[in-house]
Amino acid sequence: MEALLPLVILSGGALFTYLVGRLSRSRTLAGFVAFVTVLGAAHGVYQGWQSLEDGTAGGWPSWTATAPLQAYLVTNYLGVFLAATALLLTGLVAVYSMRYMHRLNIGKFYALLLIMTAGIVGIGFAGDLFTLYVLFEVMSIASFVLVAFEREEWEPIEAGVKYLVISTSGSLLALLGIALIYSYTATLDLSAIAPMLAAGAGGPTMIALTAMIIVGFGVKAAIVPMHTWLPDAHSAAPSGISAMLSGIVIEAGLIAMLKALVAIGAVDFGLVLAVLAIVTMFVGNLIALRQDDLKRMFAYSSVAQMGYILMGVGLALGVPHLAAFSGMRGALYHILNHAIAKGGAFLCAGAFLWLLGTRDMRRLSGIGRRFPVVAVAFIIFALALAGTPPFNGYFSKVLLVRAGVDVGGWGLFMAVMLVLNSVISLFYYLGAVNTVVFGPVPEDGPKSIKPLPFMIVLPIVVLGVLAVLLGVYPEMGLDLVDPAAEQVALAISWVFR
Amino acid sequence: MKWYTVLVGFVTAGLTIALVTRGIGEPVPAALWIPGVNAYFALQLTGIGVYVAAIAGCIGALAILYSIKYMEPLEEEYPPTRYYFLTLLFVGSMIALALADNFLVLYIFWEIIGFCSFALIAYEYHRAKARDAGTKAFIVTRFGDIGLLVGVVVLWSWMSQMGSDNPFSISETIRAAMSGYIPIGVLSVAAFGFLAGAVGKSAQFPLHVWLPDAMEAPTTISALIHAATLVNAGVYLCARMLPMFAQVWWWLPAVAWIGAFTALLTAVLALFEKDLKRVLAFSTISQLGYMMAGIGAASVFASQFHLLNHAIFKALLFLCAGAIIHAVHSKSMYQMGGLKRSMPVVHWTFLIGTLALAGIPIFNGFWSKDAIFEALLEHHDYGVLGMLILTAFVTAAYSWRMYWLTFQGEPRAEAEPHDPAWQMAVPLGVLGVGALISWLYVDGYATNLGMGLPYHPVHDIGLVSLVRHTFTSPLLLVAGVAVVIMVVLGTRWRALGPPVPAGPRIWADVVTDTKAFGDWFWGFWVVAMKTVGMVLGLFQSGDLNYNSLWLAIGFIAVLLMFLGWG
Repeated sequence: MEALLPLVILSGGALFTYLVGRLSRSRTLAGFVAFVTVLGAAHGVYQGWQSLEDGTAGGWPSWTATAPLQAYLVTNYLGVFLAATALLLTGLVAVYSMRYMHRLNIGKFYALLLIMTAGIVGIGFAGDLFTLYVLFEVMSIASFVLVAFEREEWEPIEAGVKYLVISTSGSLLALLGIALIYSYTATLDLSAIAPMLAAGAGGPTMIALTAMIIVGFGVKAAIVPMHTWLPDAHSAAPSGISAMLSGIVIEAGLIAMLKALVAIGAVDFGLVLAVLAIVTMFVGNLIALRQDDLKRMFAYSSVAQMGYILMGVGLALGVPHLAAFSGMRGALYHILNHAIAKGGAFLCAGAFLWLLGTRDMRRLSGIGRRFPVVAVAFIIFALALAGTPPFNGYFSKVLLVRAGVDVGGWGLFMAVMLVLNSVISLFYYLGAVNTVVFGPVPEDGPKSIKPLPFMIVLPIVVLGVLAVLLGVYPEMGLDLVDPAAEQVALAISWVFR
Repeated sequence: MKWYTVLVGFVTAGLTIALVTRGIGEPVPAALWIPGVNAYFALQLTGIGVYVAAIAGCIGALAILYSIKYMEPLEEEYPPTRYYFLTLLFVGSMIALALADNFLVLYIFWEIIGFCSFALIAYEYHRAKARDAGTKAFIVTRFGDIGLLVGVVVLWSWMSQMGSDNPFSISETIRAAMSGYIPIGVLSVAAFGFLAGAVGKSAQFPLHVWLPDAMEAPTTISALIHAATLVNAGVYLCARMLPMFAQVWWWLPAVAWIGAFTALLTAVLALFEKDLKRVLAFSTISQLGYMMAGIGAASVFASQFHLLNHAIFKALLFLCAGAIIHAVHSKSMYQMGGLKRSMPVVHWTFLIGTLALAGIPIFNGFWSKDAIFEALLEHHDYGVLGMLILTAFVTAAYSWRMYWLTFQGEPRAEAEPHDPAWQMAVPLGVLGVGALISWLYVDGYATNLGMGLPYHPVHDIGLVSLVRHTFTSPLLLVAGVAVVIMVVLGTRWRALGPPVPAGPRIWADVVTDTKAFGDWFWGFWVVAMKTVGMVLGLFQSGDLNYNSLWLAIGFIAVLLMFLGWG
């Protein structure tokens, strides 16, 4: 029941927010309702956490599922982790969008935002592959519409269509994989698939369906070469949505993939994921080097950061007896840190975009100096993303390096690649700081600039404070991450024993 | 605000001195910081660390006092709050780095001083050159930090697999390594990583390219970076880990050769440089090479004694250079000259610094340089020793050239130079006296240095035995030849005038600007990275058909990988 509660609150809240937005046309009111809904859902998730700590946690529905296609949610630590991260970001984006978004269609915007979050929360709590797929699609469809939300311009529409086509192709591939699994096992329960599949399916089938799962969910997780939709979508979306997409949606895709992979088990795919991870981080970082568009640069850097996270997952799945826990710990902690830092970075970029109406860094040059608070936060996010202490990104990178070192051999090589990549990334993060904050103000730029509304600055400040806090006292994040990592590591070592 | 910073600086200096006089070897309570990974926020008052901290604190305080007057002209353009904030953070982080007894804490402060150096070198951010130099300093040193981070994690991983309940502890890791609990293979990886980190921070070849460019910083910051904080970190790190990594057969020779080669290379570069601050920058790299070579000879005392003496005379030289540039409004030595009469205070203190740098008896640089030579001789590193002796001659030549171009001959500057205000003169005086007498402290230094470090080979050396030993050693000849070089050059320049070239010397500028072509090496990688990025960008066409094609290619690639490895 605890697993269902946040989903119900978020979906119901979406409906209510839509009505409020439609009737009142007030951004503040709709945003406030959305924020309260997020708080309610967070309370639900907290109750779930409590029940896990007490050992009373269960699934929904609570009677034992016998029919294989029964919709099915399970309260678990991984879900709590994903939901907490998603709700944190959603709440702040809800506040941010009160001023950032236009008044038009504000009800729809908030409703879609909440539905997307419901999908993410559901992915974490899903107990069978069908539920996982349905909620994954709920998240995806809401995000298509949100990317193309500013529909009076061409760019978001184009980006939205590309996103829709590529992402749906991926989803269908994943669906095909799930169907194949079902044809062999006659069950979709995540915890029951592995043994039956091992008994039923032969080697080639296993390889085919594993590849389908990796590529299908990998599209959403922006693994190179399935990342092509991402730069367009992340830069064209409204900035709050960019923060959501980069901060949690692509990570939710990765978690969906992880859950499916752990469930089917039995294929040695760690090395494949490791190769994909290295390619992903290099491609993301090297292309990001050449971007002039601030949001596009952050979008490519998200690709690179997904590479880091994927590396942790790959190590955990590939060498479970050495790195199951340390790899998952690094990957999950990096998801949390990335959500905070990249979410914040996109909100800062959005604030500058809101002020000047451009994402071109040459035009944004020197804008940061007029808004010192946002500029300081921007520097913090950039350094955190590059993994510079004492901001939050470094600690998860230390954990990821630890996973690589634990494996030794090619794991050590991957660890070196990861740190090398974070140095490469420093080039463009510092470049962005040097331009946007310290660069010369263009001479033909606007003479007077409107002040930034409090509601735009507030979420940026909150994320900035969190980035510093998690860097100075990483234990805060570990409290959330460790149980989830333990749970996944246990599942991995059970499946791969 | 400014005077408050000065107060904080001097209180810090006092506290670090108190650590030297009362604290070395005392236990410090540790706080459990990240229970999830058993990381403690732990400090340890080791002899080496406390002295590095004291150098940072004291020279930091003098540099801040000096800044009051020196930074005044910039205050209108750049509000000074940022400057003083970053300076204090810089000094404080260096102190924490030197006292840390936890690899994670050490790594964090290691990176914070890297960030501070970026922000302070790029302090005058309206100038693109300053921004670029700051960025370069941060990124190049972080290339070395790749090694440090991996090395730290390798040791952490091994310690926690052994079941240590304090796996990040530096002292416990060293103890485990000395008791043979850490296999040589693991130590080798860590040793390589730590060496890479130290090479980056202490600007050794091939990562030396950032330091001359860092001269874009305000001169006070250069003094801090070169004498008190940043570059000492690498030498400190190597000295602290010395007994652990000495077990790896290649580590000591590698450190010694890197140091010696860097010392010679940059000393030659300094010979052709025209920018006063960049001469000093090259000389810093060169002197750091000496310290590294001292560590390579397994002599903690020699390298750390040189670190102390170098900190004093290099801070002195930089602050003098600041006063000169302040007065002459130019950094080129070819536009100085004849400042002997107009700036007597700066002249005398600068002369002391120059003689100390050149290793002329009885200035402080002489004693520690000689100690390094002795250590190398005892360690039978004859190749390294020969290289460093050659470097000592070049050092005498370039430092004497620097002095002559600046102070002797006829004035070539257009401005009206004058001695600086007292806020600037007092630090010069203090450091000048320090450069004359700091070697007298050798007794206490050698005794305290090894405290709290059970595995470090530090022998007590009394003042009397140091003097007797130095003056009966054949290595005294090195200093003798250096004196001869300076006398010959001085006589020649007195007759013919200081060595100002008639026309532009393009080849010299090319070689020194590119740091003996080291810059091109790194520039190549930057260009290569951007080119690869551009090529990769070509595949990112934004065309939906191609995007779908990539999806298909991805699927096929994953299948092929499975078939290949499955």
